[in-house]
Amino acid sequence: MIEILTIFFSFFSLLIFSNFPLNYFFIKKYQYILKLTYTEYLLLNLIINFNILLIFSFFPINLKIVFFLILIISLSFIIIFKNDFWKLFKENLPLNFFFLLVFYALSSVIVKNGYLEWDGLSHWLHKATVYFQGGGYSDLAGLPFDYYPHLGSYVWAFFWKNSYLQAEYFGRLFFIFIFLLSIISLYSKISNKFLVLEKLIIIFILVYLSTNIFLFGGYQEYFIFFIFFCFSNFFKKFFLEDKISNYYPELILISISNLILWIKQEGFFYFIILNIIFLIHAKRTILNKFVFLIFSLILISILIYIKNIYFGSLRFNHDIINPETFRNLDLYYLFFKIFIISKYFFISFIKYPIWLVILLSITVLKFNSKFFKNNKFIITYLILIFGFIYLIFLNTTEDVAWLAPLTLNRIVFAVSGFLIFVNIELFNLIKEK
Amino acid sequence: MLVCFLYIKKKIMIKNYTTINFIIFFIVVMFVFDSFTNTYILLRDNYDKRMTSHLGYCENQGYGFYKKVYKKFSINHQNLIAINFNDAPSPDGYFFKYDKKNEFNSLVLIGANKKVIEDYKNKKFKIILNEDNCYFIKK
Repeated sequence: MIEILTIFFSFFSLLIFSNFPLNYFFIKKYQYILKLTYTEYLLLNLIINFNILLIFSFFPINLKIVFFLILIISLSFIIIFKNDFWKLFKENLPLNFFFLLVFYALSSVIVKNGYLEWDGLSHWLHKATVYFQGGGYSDLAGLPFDYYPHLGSYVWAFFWKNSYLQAEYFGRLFFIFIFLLSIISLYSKISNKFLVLEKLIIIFILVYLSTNIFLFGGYQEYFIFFIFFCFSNFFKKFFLEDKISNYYPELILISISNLILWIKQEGFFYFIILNIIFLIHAKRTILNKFVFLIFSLILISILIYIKNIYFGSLRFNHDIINPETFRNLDLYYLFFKIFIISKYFFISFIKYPIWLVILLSITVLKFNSKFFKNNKFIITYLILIFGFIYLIFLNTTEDVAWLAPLTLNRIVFAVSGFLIFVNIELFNLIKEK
Repeated sequence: MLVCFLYIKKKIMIKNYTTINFIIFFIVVMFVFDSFTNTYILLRDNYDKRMTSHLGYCENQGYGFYKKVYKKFSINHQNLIAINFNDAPSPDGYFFKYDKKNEFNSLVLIGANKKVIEDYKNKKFKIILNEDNCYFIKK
């Protein structure tokens, strides 16, 4: 019984956590520069908090004190604006109840299972354990796969430490929370011509098609999914029009893309892809883009600098230029590998059916609306991300026929976060017609 | 929860038909994610029982055997290294203590066959505990 109650405690503490530092009603009343919905403010708060946690992860800071400080400040604001929160709660009662229910449903699977999947146990748990037991960043050196980025493990340890039962699996519930919050934030983008129940069914379909319990077993894919989702959401919101006259949107995008560097190794390349999308498609002046680029280079330099200090260098599983790079010059061999990778791409789309809906949405929107006139960044993203996945699997020194079935589907799933919103556009189009 | 319940009750009285639709939808959501069964299992079995049933005693990750050895033989909670010969990761991560040393003179072997054991015997390891194809060996 206590485990079930702890799931609910975790939900409410995550909710309170994501109301800090930017309280929606406070901002709305005094400084409404960024016109975002309530759930978008929650997403933004999570981005800010994860950046704060990233900084804290390099210092010996007590995780409990940080958590209680955040909780107390956030709760104070909630109490101050309790009437507004109550009104918001009442207005969206079915959605709130749905959020809680699905969170419980997915959490109960994680808690019931309790165990970790292969990479979770072999790669990521050790880092989380170090932070949970009071260790610091320097204590990561010497662990299995110590050169892997640590942010996901740090946040895992943070919520593990601050869960009521302090059991490892309660730390992983934040993956469920950020995943659900991402998709639920799309609720406000669904056409008002739909009934509330219809809107909930649409959200449920997206949640169901994107859920893979295996990936909650200690993998970082849902964190990457969340980052991609936030990037596309805020990019679409702020950078496809010329109206914004302040620099907050740029700061938001930089904060989002910074996180991806510290979650997984391939985050380095995702970071470059997201930057390219900004540089090509953002409706900003050359000067703005130049400053953005400088900031991005500073973030990469910080990553390289820190990795150099603690682990000798910024390492990847394989060298970027390796003997396999030159073997690919043999065309027969190259086409064979492309065939294998394409085959597992296809299998991944079936394994994660959200991709089938995304591809269907893109096709329908392309031929039945002017959606892509203003959203060309989606095409650029598809080309870059698919190109990147092909390149890493062409360049790996491992046997691609062995590696692709194990890892390709996870990468394909994680990058789908960027494109989830196109499904809503499809539903809206159907309703309009 | 109580406030939520009272509000829902009030709503039920006002908009009966719509509320029933929502309730059916929510039950379907719970059913799709198997929440009723999961809740039942959570109420019935404690953490250890669930872990051993999922991860195996000597099969799979060998969680049960490793835990027994760790409790019985780990001096001062030092990290015992496990080698898993099954197609599964080693369970030692669950018991890892970052500030303790690794015990290099002992090994937990999960799913080891006789040839493997002979090899370790040749390296001067002695069998301290053996259950099925799981071994705790020490130099």
